[in-house]
Amino acid sequence: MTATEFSAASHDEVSQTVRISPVIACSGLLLGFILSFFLLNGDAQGRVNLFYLLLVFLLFPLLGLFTSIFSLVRGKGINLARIISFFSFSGVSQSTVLRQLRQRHLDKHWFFLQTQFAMLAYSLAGVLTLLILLLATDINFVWRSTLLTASDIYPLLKVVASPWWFWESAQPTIELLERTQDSRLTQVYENPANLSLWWPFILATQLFYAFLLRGVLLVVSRFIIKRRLNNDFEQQLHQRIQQNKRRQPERFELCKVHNQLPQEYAVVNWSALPDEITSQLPVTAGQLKLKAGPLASEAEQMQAEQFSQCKLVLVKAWEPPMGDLQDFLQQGFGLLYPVNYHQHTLQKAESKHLDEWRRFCSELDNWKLFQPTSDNELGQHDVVAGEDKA
Amino acid sequence: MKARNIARFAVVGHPNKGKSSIVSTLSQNDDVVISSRSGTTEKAEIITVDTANGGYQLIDTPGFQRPLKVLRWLNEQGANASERAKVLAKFVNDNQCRQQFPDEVELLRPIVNGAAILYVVDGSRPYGAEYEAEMEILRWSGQPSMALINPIESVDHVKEWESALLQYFKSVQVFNPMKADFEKQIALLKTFSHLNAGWSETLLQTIDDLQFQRQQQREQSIMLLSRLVEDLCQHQESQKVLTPQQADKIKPLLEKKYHQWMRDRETQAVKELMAIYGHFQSDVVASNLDLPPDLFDCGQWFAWGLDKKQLVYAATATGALGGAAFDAAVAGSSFMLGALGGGLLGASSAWFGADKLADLSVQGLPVGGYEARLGPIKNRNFPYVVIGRFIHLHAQISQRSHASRETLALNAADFQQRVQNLEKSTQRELHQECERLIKQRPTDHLEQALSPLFSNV
Repeated sequence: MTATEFSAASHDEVSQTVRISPVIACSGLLLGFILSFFLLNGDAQGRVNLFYLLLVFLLFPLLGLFTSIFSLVRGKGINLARIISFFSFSGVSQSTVLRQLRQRHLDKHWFFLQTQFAMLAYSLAGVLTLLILLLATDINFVWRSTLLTASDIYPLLKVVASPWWFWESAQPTIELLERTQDSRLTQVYENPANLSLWWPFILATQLFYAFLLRGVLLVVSRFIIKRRLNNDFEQQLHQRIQQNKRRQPERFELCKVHNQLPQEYAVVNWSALPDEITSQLPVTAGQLKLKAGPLASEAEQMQAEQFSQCKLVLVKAWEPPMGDLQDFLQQGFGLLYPVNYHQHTLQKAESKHLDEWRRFCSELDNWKLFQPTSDNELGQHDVVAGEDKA
Repeated sequence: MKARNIARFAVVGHPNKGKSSIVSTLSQNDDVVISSRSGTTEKAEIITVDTANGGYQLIDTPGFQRPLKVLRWLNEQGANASERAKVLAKFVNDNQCRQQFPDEVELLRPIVNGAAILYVVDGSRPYGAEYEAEMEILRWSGQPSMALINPIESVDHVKEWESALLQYFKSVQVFNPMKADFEKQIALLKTFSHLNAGWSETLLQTIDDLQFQRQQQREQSIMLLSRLVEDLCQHQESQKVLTPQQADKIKPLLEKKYHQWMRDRETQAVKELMAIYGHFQSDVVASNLDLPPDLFDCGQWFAWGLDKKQLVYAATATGALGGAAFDAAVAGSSFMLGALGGGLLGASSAWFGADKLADLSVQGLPVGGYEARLGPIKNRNFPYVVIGRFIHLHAQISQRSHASRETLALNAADFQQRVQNLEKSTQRELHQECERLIKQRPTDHLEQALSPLFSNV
């Protein structure tokens, strides 16, 4: 695996954090089934205390919800998922994902998200248990109180049921409350069928206060985690690396370097090389000398341009070829000789400079590149009559 | 509030004298194309450095190709000194000139439009009179200008260049874009602020922003190291097997996977570190980091981590702290023997654990079969080795010029000295955090403990 692949895998791994932790979700599901089943089973007569149901399906989820929100915002993020993670069987505390989340200060957000999953599972278990028991057995919803009367409870239940005002049969009524009040001493019911009429209210309570609210929080917390993951500096660096792909190395066509010269040619000093340097060049001996280039006069330039025989053009090796020279080389033919020197002493041209001249020369039809071999630099150069055989 | 008066600098000169390198370094952008081939830059390219409260533009231009002919054309217009800037504008807008002198038109256009001039020459090669035509053309613009001598290979001819350039430019600076660290770049930017009084405020704000950005880069590097060292210290590879004998057989495979993961993780961190400092074009491949000194070559650890003496001190400091907690718990009735005992215990475990890497453990699974697990590394020196390598790379990368395209080398440096130079309390905090890493405990203050290592020694 290359480093880039690894990097991508690592970021994928982090983005998978919004997935459900099966251990935590199963814990919520199990808790929901156990609590709902024991409560909804009721006593021997199938009576279920409405208040106990409200405790498990309304108060407990709401209290949990407020606690985890408060803890997320102000505290260390204590919630159901965090508590489950303390048990080593869950394997959560050792996970790589959790370590990466902690590094990004997102661990408490992750626990909050997993708690929403767990509570959704809890609610699902509650709803399923209720529906199964409604189908499979008779559930008699009653309420008991020593101090409270139906008219005391009614306003509270009305507020609880206000979110589903449109669902008529799930609304509490004072009559239903009066008819379903239970006493363990007097067990006479005018119409036992009334006792089952609370189920839509219980179902609606579960759907709204557990399912819907947790669902909303789940979406919100997923969004927050994803956004914060995307804003994490490492994620942004990864994106920048992806955007700034490495460029391919340049490839140029380079011409051959010749080290032999024709018998007759004119030496054109293009770069105004000092006489003390040109005099050290064996190739200049006995040849016609011309001047051209930026420092030559117009007459000298014209003379060099009009010379129709082979020319050996001397240039400074370290200076790159320029447009002026290119214009000059449009006419005539011959060889280019990049000369390198340091403090009045001739030196071999550096290969990086020579490569630039080779690239330049490869684009010229009538010009070749000349470099003496190190032997004939000091002594006499090889001269070949007629065609250059190099 | 962001200033609107943005400074603009046209970087001009002969071909292949390092104009693009200077643009790349000053814009901290290694995406600028730098080529050994002359004439690579055919069009003027604007690189904008955008900061929170300021910014500036650098314009990478083609090199002069026919300066003498251009100067001849300008002279033929017969302008007096007051008209020269207008003649230059006429040159830039003339259709025939555009065809004849495309490079000069392209390089002079931003100057005609108000950019200041940064004229670049090579200080390692002798001055030549052929440059005078270029400098004369630039003088015609009347724009604020500065000459930068780039000693590409040596400083042999800097003096002669200086005396020539001072005749054309008020300010001449020696600036090597390949070696200029952040401080040198800032120093040059400060000089730029004197070129044009109108840009001074914006440029000074930009300098403040860049320094703040530098601080952020340092903080991100610390976070990156904190994550890296934690990941490397806690990583483990596992494989389900049927028998304990099978576990022994797959040990080499697990070791290979384990080492590969660790190396890849480190390479990823290095790439991210380079990205923090805006280096994307430099070559850092995994193989560079795999070569000696290898992360798992314990023989090289003396260079990267702590030496045995320092390790003993680290273990003693953290061990003694545990013992001191015992002393405190018994309200000193242990006559401080707890601290002494804890220290000795820590010291001896440091000696014995110095050459121990990750072990293979085999555990039975509740559903049957076994799990062979390799890692995490328990060697006390390991976190220091990771930190030492990263600190060294950080020192290199944070000072690396954006013009440099060379492969990043990894050589040992002065990590032990850095640790030695920390205050005792800071050392202790670092050792405690490293101890927590090795013991697989969450670290709460790792970034804080690492921070002093990133300051200059």
